Order: sequence, then C-alpha cells, then structure tokens
Amino acid sequence: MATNLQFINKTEVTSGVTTVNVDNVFTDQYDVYMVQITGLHQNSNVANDVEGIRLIDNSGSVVTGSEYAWALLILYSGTTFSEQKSTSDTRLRLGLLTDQLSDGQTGGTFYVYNPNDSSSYTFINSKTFGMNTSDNNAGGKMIGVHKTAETIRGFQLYESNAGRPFGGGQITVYGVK
Amino acid sequence: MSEFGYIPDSANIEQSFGNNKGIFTPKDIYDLTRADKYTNYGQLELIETQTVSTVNTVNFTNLGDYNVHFLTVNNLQVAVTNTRLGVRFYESGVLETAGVYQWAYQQCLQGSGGEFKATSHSSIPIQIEQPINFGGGGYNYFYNLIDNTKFSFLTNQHNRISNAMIGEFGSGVMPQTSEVTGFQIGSYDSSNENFSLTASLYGIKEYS
Repeated sequence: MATNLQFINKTEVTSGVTTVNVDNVFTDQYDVYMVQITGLHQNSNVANDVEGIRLIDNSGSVVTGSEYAWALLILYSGTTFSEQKSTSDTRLRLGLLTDQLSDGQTGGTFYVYNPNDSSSYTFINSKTFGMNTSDNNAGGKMIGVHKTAETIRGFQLYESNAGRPFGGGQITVYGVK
Repeated sequence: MSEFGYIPDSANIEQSFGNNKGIFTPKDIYDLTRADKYTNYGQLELIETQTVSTVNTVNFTNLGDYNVHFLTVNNLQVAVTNTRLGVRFYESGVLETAGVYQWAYQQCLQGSGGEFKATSHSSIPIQIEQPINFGGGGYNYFYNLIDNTKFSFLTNQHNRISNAMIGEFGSGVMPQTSEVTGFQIGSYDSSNENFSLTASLYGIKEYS
C-alpha cells in the first residue's frame, strides 16, 4: 500500500448555508489527518472572517460547549498583525478572512491529531490564507485543542452570523500515513 | 455492458474511488485510473524536482490539473548574503512582474521577531535573506492556481540561519482571476542574484 496522503472525502460548500458538516471522516485508520479548504467565500458583499470549526463527537453531535482553546496570529498585509487567543471557547478560530468571490476568498490547510483516540484530546494546527476588501491579504496561523478526551469523528465549518452565509468552496480530507 | 470490462457480472456496477467492486484486468485498472475511478492511495503526487546551481531564476511550468500544489525547497544557497527569493506567477504563459502581489510574513528568531508586509509588490517572498553556505529550506502550499475564477494564493513556512536560527511563515496572493500556468522563483526584488537549490513540486490529488 502506498503511503503519504490518502484521500478520504471531498465536501462541496453550498451557497446560502452557515454550517457545513464533514462527518464520519476520522476513523481508526489514521492518527493524523490533513484537511484542505479551498475557494471558501461568502455569498454577498460582507467582508469578514468565518467563525471557525467545531468538532463532531462519536454520537454525531456537534461539540458546542466551551471546550476549545486556541491561539491565532492573523498576518495582515495592510496593517499590524493581530494576536488572538482563548482558553475557553465554543469553536476553534482559524483566521479565515473572506468576502464575496469577486473580492476574495479563503482557505488553507489544517492537521488534526488523535481525533479517534477516546483517551486523548484532539489537537489541530492550521495555516490559512484569505483576502477581502477590508483587510487585503490576510494569513492565519493557529494552534488549538479540544479539551475533552473523547472520540471525534468529524468537524463542522461554522459561521454564527446568519447574515454571512457561505457562497461556495470545497473541503477535502486526507489521512496521513 | 459497462464502460469497463469487469469480471464477473459487473455490467451495472458503478465504480468510483474508494468503492471499486469486481476483478480487474490490467486494462481495466489502466482505464479506471485514467478516469479517476480506481482506488490507488498516495494523493501527494510528484510533478517535478529541479536541482539548480548558480542560476537567477528557476521555472515550474507544468502544474498538471491540481487545484492545490505543494512545493518543498531545500539546500538553498545564494551567491550574495541577504538575497531574498520570491515567486512570480505566469498567467497564460506570461510572467506577471508588476506590483500586484500582496503578502505578510511573521519572522521568529531569538530575542525578537518582526512583521513584514506589502500590498503592492512585484513578487511574493518565499525565502528571505538566506546567507551564503547555510542551506536553508521551506515549504509552500499554492491554492487555486489553475482556476481562472479565483485569486491565486500561497502559504509558506521556511527557515534560515545567520547568527541564530530563524523561522518565517506567512501568506501571499496575486488578486487576479486568471489561469496561472506556472511560476518562477527568482530574486524577490530586481537584484537578480544567483542561487542554488533543490525544489520539488507536488500536486495534491482530489476526487469529486
């Protein structure tokens, strides 16, 4: 069997929604997963950043409690960088700054560690890119953790503001051998 | 009869990546692979490795049909200390050299760090100020290069060493909806300095 990246799943982000579940992608087949988001944009002219991601537990429920801790550096091309962090939050923020498609989009790569291990926290690190008319180019680098030892089987791309629905994009999941 | 000649009774079996059924002849496997319907793990696919010595540019003009590319750079050495290398994109074969690129980088080093940024520059830096004979390296992800409906982005992380180890990471964009057909690594500015390196470009395969 060849090693390195092994394709698992591709999910299209449909226009008009504010959450996208990528479920049943983390199994006992891999300890580490690589997730790539490409072309993620909003469906109207709302330059902002996407809230982030939340995990899906072994029963299929999205983990919405304050069980996440993260630290994020947003690197703006046009202004001072922004250091943001939380030790108790309801989502992991990735720094996905985006806009309507004609003005920008966002995406990046994040790695998920030990999601299928019920005795371990699930850790994530990410490297993202983005652009919108307010911020110009803006990259993000995040480290985060779900502070509950339980089996995680998927994740949800999450935006809490109903006025900022997604316009499209793709999410691709790979296992890392 | 199926498009592919499976054995046995498989006339109505729909084949797809991760969901193949039946017994396959070598020709079936060949045909299915070309149709992106045969399960063959290993989605990090090498496109090209180039090892160059004492050049002032190196071009990657075969991007395949991948939406995401991964580039590794190692053993980078320059002829002049503090040379900065950058990337410029080819749009339908024409190198974009105007000040259209935006980027932002965080530098991490002992004692202090720094923010580096631009909203109008002639390249996106991917490797900065590599001193002579220390052989630094790094990696980059490129997104949406071949998609003429989206801007072309990259993220980057690399290291260098002078008196101390230094790491840098960031992102950049060419905010133009054009089809990028390749890219060039060269001096970040107009200095046109020589360098040597080994760079490998991979495509990250995906399926519908």
